[in-house]
Amino acid sequence: MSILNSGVTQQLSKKDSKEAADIYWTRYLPYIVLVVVFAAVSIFVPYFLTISNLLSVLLQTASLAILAIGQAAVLILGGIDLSMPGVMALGSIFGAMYMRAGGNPVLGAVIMLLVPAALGLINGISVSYFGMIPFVVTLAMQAITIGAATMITNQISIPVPENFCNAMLTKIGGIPLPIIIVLILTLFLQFAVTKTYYGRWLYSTGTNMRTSRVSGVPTKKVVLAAYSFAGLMGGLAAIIMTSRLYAASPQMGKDAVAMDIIASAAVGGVSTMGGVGTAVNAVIGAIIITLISNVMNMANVSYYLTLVIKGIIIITFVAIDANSRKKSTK
Amino acid sequence: MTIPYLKMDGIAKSFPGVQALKNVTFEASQGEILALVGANGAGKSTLMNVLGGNIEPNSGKIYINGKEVRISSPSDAAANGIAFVHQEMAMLPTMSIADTMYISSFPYKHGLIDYKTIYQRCRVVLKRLGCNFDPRERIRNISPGDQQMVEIGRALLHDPQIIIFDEPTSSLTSREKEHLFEVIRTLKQEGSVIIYISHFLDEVFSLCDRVMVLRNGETAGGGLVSEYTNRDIVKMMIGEKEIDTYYERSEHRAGEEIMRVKGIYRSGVINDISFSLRKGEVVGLWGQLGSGRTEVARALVGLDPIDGGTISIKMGDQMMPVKQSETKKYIGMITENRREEGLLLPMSVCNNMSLANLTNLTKKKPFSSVIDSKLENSETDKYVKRMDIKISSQAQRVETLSGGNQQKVIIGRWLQKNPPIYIMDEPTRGLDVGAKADIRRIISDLAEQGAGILVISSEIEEIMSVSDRYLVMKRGSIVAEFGSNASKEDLVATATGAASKKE
Repeated sequence: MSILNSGVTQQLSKKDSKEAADIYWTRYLPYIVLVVVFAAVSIFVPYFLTISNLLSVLLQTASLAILAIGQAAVLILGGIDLSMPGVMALGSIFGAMYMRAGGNPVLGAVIMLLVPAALGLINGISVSYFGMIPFVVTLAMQAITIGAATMITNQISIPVPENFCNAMLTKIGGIPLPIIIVLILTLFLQFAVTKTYYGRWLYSTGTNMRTSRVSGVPTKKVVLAAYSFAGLMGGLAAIIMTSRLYAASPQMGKDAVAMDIIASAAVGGVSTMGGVGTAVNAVIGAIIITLISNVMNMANVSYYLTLVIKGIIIITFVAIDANSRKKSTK
Repeated sequence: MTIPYLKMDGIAKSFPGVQALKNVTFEASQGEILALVGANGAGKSTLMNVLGGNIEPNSGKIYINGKEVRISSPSDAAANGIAFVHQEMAMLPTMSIADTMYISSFPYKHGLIDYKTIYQRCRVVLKRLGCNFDPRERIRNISPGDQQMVEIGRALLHDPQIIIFDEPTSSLTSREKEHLFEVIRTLKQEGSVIIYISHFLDEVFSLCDRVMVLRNGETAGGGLVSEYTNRDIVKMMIGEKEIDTYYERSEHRAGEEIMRVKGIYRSGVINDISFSLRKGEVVGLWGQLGSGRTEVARALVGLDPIDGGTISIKMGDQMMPVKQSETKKYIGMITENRREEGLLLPMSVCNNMSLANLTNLTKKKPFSSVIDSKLENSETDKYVKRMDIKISSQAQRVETLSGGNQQKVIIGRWLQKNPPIYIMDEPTRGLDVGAKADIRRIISDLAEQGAGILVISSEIEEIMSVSDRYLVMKRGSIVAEFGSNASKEDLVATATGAASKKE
């Protein structure tokens, strides 16, 4: 089995292949979309295909890719996390405040990582042990965190020390550190979800929680872990984004960011209905969404039209996914 | 003799693979309570669903008051004065009593729901049932017995002439039951035709005038209740000619005790369940649908909560009490609904079969969380061959397999894990004869290899062909225990309450 294949759709027999070709063409869709978008952008945007430009696009993608990876873990379970932007912003602000007060930048980074992870843990406990609806819990968490972030900062950015940012943006062999982090993280997680039993538990729980429970899979712990992981990824994204902006700002957590995260996962091939998707899917989706955002930015498309277009993209891809599901369970 | 008010003549209905009703003729008169009894799957529900317009028969005619009528939908049934009081109350817990009663036919006035009329009418109907509820009360605030009254009230709204009660007492306390019986007797005196479906023969004797017995979709007999004894009806239900040895019965040698259940209960569902299971023995947990047998099975593996009691499992050479949430580690559970709780439908045969055993299929340290896919494939292959599961490859998706092969995949999942105890709830439901025989053989083999197995089945022949011992459940309690020499009659009689004093 190839490491690139996502949970449920792995391993297709020859006998199934005709039917499978019908159902699972969607699994190649993200790659096709990536190639098409990439080709279109290279044709219409001058200097796009230069190494320095490509690296800057990837650097720009890094935090969204990490957020999409976290979201993917939750989506595979059939859940959703709408609180990632707010959680990320609050983590960033706490870390920045600590550093502004003279705190050690390394500890500042740890705070940025752990505050979102703790908030993700709260999401996870609410969903798994209290049986609350993920949509409601995480929407409320988004309101809480973005409200708190705006209140604490009075809407003013908090600058972070330059040495913190420079350290995070160091280039290794000409490649900025965030890109390397995303690369290593993606490879590690891809391996984890396709090769370890924790990954298998994630897919089985997302495919059928009741069957998994009867079979002895610790489903509550799996759910708890996925939401905590999403929080942790929010923290990692907070560190990267803060160092790119040289400041922490409640703007990082605005609601529309959740759109980008979910759009990335959906376009990349993570099913919003659970059971399907991998880290690679999430990253590809993040690259596609970043490219589309950039093009719209360059073409001076208004912010509101951008929202309309992204919303349409989400609905389109979810519709394609739902349609292929309908065929497969016929 | 006068013409019966209701006559169903030559009703036949087949479903894919099953002939549910074969030429059944059925009569009922006004002012009498007719009991319709039969074992699980005898065709009672199908017959009544034909009358209620939920199922269209392949052939047969229905006469009401001597006139032929066509009933092809529930509204046709209502128009002909037929009302159905369902076993599972179709309640809307957050809505009011009045809304629940009128949900399918709200009267309107000036384009708005006419609540004034509704409340008035509800009060009248409920009063007739001896209830003084406020129709605005929410359903969730009244007891199950009162909910049952609301359900009957809903049936009475349109002044039906024929009222079908399907297992109406299954969720009632004995006082609520008495009240219900009073109500049914009153309806009878008012001249309604009452058809009463029940698993419980004691109720039939205390309430009904006439009885009709169905067996395997055919009329097995019937007549005035006063002319029969309990045993006569049981005999009609199971059939005298059927020979017990039709299914080869396997004997196993039971070893030491492996699981001991002491006094587990859950309020209103199961009461004081105690029994023990030994190595190498198959215990049949027998009872009617709704007797609590499935609930016991689920409670044992922590799928349903319990309010108290202990479960002990043999570890080393001691019986150790095990927390309810931990028992899953020692018990292979096969639930009655394989699509919902047994399979990961879109996933592969291999992934399905390794699901319970993943932590044992890993590589060596430090990669002890990485699945060794060669080991996973070879283990899967071993059990695919052993159980003769027909697949094109291990990668085939389970949803494309036949029911029998799907069930074998689930059993294979547990064989791979090899727990000391198995619980199988309806392991052969919906399977063809060949697959059923295969699964019975697997159960027998498992027992020979020393597993302790608890089997639940609705088919008496099946449970008798595999079991060494029987626990009989009725209304949430174990009411009798039999050895391997139990007869079909013993089992049916104790489960229906016809022989509560014997044994």
